[in-house]
Amino acid sequence: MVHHPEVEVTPFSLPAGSMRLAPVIQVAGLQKRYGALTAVKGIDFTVQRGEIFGLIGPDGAGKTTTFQILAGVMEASAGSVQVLGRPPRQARLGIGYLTQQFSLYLDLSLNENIRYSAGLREVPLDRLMERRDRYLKLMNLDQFGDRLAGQLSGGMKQKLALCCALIAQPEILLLDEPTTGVDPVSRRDFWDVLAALANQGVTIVVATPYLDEAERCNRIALMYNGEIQQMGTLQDLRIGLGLHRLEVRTNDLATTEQVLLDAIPPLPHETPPPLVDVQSFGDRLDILVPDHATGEATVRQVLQQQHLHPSQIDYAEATLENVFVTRLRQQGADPPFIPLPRSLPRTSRSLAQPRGSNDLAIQTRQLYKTFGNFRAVKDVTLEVRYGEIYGLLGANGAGKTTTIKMLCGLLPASGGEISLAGRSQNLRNPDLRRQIGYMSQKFTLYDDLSVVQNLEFYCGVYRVPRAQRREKIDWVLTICGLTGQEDMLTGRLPGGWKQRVAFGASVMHEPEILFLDEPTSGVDPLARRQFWRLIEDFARRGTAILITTHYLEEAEHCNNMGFMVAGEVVAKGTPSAIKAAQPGKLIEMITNMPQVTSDLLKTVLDPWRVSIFGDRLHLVLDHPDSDIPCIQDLLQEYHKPDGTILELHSVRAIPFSLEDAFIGIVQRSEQTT
Amino acid sequence: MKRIIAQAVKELSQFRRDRLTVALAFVLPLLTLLIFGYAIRLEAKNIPIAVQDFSNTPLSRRYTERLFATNQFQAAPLLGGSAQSVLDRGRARAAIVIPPDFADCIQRQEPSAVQVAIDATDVNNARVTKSYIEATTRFFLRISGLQSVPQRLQARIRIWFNPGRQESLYIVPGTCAVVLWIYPSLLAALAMVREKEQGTIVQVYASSLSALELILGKALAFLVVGLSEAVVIITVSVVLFQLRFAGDPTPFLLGTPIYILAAVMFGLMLGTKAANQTAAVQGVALVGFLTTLLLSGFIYPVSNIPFPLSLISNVIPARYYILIIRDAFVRGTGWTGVWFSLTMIVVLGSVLFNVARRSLSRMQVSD
Amino acid sequence: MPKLLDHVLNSCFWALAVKEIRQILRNKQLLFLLVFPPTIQLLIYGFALAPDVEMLRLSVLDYANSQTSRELVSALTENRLFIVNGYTFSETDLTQQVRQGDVTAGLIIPPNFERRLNQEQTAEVQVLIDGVDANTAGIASGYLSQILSQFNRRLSPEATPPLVNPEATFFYNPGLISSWFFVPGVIGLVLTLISSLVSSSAVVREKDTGTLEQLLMTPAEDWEILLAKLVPLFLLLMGDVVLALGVSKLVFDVPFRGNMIIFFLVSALYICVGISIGILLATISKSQQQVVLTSFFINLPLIQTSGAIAPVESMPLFFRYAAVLNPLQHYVAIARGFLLKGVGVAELWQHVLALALFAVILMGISIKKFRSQLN
Repeated sequence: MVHHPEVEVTPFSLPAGSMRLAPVIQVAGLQKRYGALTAVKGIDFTVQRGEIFGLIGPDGAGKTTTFQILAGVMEASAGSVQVLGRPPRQARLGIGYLTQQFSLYLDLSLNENIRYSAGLREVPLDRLMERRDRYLKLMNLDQFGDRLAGQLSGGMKQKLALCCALIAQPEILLLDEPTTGVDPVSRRDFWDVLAALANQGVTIVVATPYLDEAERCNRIALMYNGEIQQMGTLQDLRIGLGLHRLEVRTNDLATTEQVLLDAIPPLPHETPPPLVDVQSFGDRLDILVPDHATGEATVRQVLQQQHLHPSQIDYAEATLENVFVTRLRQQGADPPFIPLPRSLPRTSRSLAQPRGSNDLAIQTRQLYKTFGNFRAVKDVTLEVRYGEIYGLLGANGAGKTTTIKMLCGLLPASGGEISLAGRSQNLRNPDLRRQIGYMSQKFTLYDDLSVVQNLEFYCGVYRVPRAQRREKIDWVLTICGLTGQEDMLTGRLPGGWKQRVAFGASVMHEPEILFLDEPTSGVDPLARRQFWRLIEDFARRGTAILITTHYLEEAEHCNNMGFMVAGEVVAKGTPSAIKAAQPGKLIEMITNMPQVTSDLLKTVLDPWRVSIFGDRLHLVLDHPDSDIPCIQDLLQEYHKPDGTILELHSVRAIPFSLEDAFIGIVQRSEQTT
Repeated sequence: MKRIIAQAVKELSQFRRDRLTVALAFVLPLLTLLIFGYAIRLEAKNIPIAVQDFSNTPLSRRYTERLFATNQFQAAPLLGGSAQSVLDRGRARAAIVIPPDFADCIQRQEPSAVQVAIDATDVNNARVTKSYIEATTRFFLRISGLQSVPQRLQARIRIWFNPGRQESLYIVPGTCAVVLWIYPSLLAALAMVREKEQGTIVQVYASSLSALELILGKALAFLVVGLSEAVVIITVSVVLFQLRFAGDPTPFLLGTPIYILAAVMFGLMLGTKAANQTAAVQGVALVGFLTTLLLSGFIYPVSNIPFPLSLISNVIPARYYILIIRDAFVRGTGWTGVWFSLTMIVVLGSVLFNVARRSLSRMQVSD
Repeated sequence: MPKLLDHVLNSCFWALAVKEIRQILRNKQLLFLLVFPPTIQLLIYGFALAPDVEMLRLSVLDYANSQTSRELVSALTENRLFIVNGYTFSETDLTQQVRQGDVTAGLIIPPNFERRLNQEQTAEVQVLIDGVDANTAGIASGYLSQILSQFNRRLSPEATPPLVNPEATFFYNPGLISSWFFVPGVIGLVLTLISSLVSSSAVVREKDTGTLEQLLMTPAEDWEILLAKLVPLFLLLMGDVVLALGVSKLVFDVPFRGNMIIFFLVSALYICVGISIGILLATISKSQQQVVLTSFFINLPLIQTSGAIAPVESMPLFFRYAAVLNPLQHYVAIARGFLLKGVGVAELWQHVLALALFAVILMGISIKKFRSQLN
């Protein structure tokens, strides 16, 4: 059950004369320069009370700088910023600010963190106790009051940070990528809380790399290169894009995508061509077209020529991600896809290791790991073939990273067997390690070296032949868009760029087995696409890849996957097999008030069965035939105090997405344990 | 005020959680106190001395016995080597060569020259050794009835405050001053720089806490820690090293919190300037140890410090606190003797406070 | 030869070493740490630690005010051992001055001084010494008795000269320059602090930033990783030895009487000890901060009981025995031997042997611990 807090909104005293409808945040001509670099180049926007305002954009777009200025912790170089009708520094008592890093004291307990935040803002003790109990309950943290913040999972930490920000009952919440690195289940919880808060009149400005989340914002600003490229409601952005979307499902996603991409004339377009853009998205292709019908005809015609047959084409509206990707591509921000220049001839590798389709690169049997009394990993059995992408999915703390570390030989297993590239003994052998690429969850570059020095180091230590080093380093710089900036200190790169360089560094030696632990965390959507094209290229050339990710639509790229819950693999198979194995039906519901509908539905259904996806709801129903009429009745009875009626626009069964499957699997197995 | 207390409470909870810093705050000061109190003796006892007695007469043997009659010197074997080689090997700090004609000369009432070779690498003890050998020789002459000079003039020497010349009475109060400067300032610097390093300072910036409140909150917390350190080490000093109040304890009781506060301000100031924890620790340790150990009169009198350095020593709070604590436990003159020192600590502490506050005053992320 | 060169340039070790050197060059803090604190420490220890007891302030209350009493005062001050701070006329003033520490000693010459001397009686003067600083008080009282006994001799010119005349010669440091004593000690102190600190932070930094895990996944062997870290640091620390010797020669004119090459070899041994201590610290710590704090627990006792500042001989028996287990104590003894005494391994072999043992044992343990931590 979601608890419905009755939040008393005590407005932070507004200056006399200002009306309630006056925007709570007004930004005009805001600029910020760091030395020669201009991070923010004159942006304007306003945010109204109770609005959720999303700030999205690729890494290095200037979002964090904007947040710091809004929060009053940094001086603007030019322009005016008014928060609650005054300069941000004077409005700080009315602002709650969550930074990208966890803004918590990890060596203090939950209660101590909250008490300190309250103390800083002079919240009276009785109010503090009452609010603490309420918010901890709202965040499902109420039983952890005495636990140290450092012992919480990523998602819980962010919820606690939100609690700390809320304890002084701010009118404005500034959230700078609060859900980066947080698993889908926790992320969804987090956004439900945000929605509840916004309903109660709290104004929220939020940045996120997850665009499905961003769709839940009332208005969205797309930032790129220090400027706001576009701003408006999701609807406005879609209309601004002027394109519609075709969802194409097919058996041969990669070829189909390539064929369709080839059919698009090169930029710039004078008039929109029949097909504007193709983006692979999970198990389908999103094709942006000026018109649904002509678009479909063109797609069918193009595919026909190549003897490809789409299994299904649906009409849909553009998503925020479509808008984002298209806009940035128009800006020329699309990082290029170039395959790694190879030096190891494939034949020699095949000779060294003759392999058929059954050649296993990674194999474990009943893998076990205990830390003291805690069983981090139990009974994990998995097999990864050369040329296969295997996705290991699960919530924070499910044991994915521990499993990978055992496979790499970084952690000794407590029990079970591991075989890596045919070896089951001595996993720390240098020859074996030369065949392995590993990219860990944390950034793995030396911040105090320049980008090119980092790459030279990894080339050297993996003993890439000296003659080829230049070429490989250039390749990494090109795919990262850092050509010409290779002497920049790595520590100065935004997080997402660092991830890309780190990926490049971990594959330059052409590994045969690649471990990627959340490689795309915090990476913007465009760069993520490029990542996956590179990963798929490696797989095609015979590399075995084990990957973890929190972006479940990405996980569709995997050939095989395992879902981990509490250290165990609870479901495995191909993405389609996993989706097909889901009990019940997935119902998509579109209403005029998704948040209200969700809150309402959660009173009758298990909360996990109801989730908001952008402007629509997904319901997992075990008995749709009997449940749907009940739900319809429930929704019809509802009307807001001001008389607004809840309108149900559409209800239809749709195929399970991996994210729905994930949430279902996690929740069901948690219920049984 | 409330916010200052909230800040202080948070600092104390963090401090309590980190076992390493708790150990740093309480174990290390005690260790330092014990080592300094027991081991640091400027004046040597049992100095090894080698005697090469070429005379080998009853008289020369009596002379030798006299030399080793007190615990000042200790016989070191010559091992067949020369005086020089004994010193070279460091087996003895001095070598005394009694000439073959020692007894004969004395019988003839002619002065006999005894060669004394002293290892002067340790200057202080070389001097002490020389003066003891001379004094012992005079004493030997007198009790052997060989001294004919009448004692026309006699001095009654009274050594005040510390008639037994226990060095611990000098070293231990000084150690307290050193310890109470270094550890509170180290903890405060760490607490300040940690917030910067971990980015939690941004949360503080984002709340409307002022620089003054932040500094006072942290200072309050580490004043509490520093005072408990003071209680511990003073108690240990009283129990193990027999320190007792020699006079009016009020200047000491008032001066100690002020001194600790100054130390905390010093730490906070370095914390705001340092880029990371390592730099902060290095800064506090280097500056703290150098100034409190060397420029405060802890080991050798302040008046011995040569010119440009003596100027620096004037702005070292430890220098003044050492005067206060020595007055409380040894000298006992009370307010008349130490009011100036106390004033100086207050002045220096407020300067440090203002520097710390100024460097934090923007309370904003720097570009 | 080119083949060998190529082999080296292609090795993991080379890549690792280049990386470490680049990081060091980028690390202003490290370079600062290697140059600034050693210099400052040498300078301040050398200048500020001055045990010279002279120019002691003396306050005189001369009730006699006669020829002989004035001669007595000038006898006390003629060698500048005492200087007259002032003459007072009341005993209260004098005691107050001693009590407050304004003067080190107070001399009271009684009114009957001249009369008793003239009557061939023993005249008595009173001396009050501020005993707060026990060391100075001891030396002051020693000086006083010596000067008085000489003065006695002057009063009885008919007496024979003293029959036993100790002729003291100061070896190694005839000018009794105190910095010569402290500088070799501080060289050892500085090397201990710096070498343990830089090596521990080099090792723990990778752990701290998470790059260690990545490094472990590369084909580089453990020993290559460790060696690549330590070799550049070792060279820099040898540079510190040169720096310290330079400062001691240029600023303090400390002699260097022994064999320079052998001293550098012994210093290299000691740096190995320092580096091993650093690695040990790093293996037991999780973060850079922990290393720096833990180092206090090791370095402070090491330095305080080493004889670098206060001589080991003056310590109680327990500490003198414990000093055998203190590598710094051996190094300081060696440094003083080479610099001041001009002796060599023949005289200092016990210390050298001890240092070599420490280097081998500590290196062994630290490398073992480091490797076991990697796996």
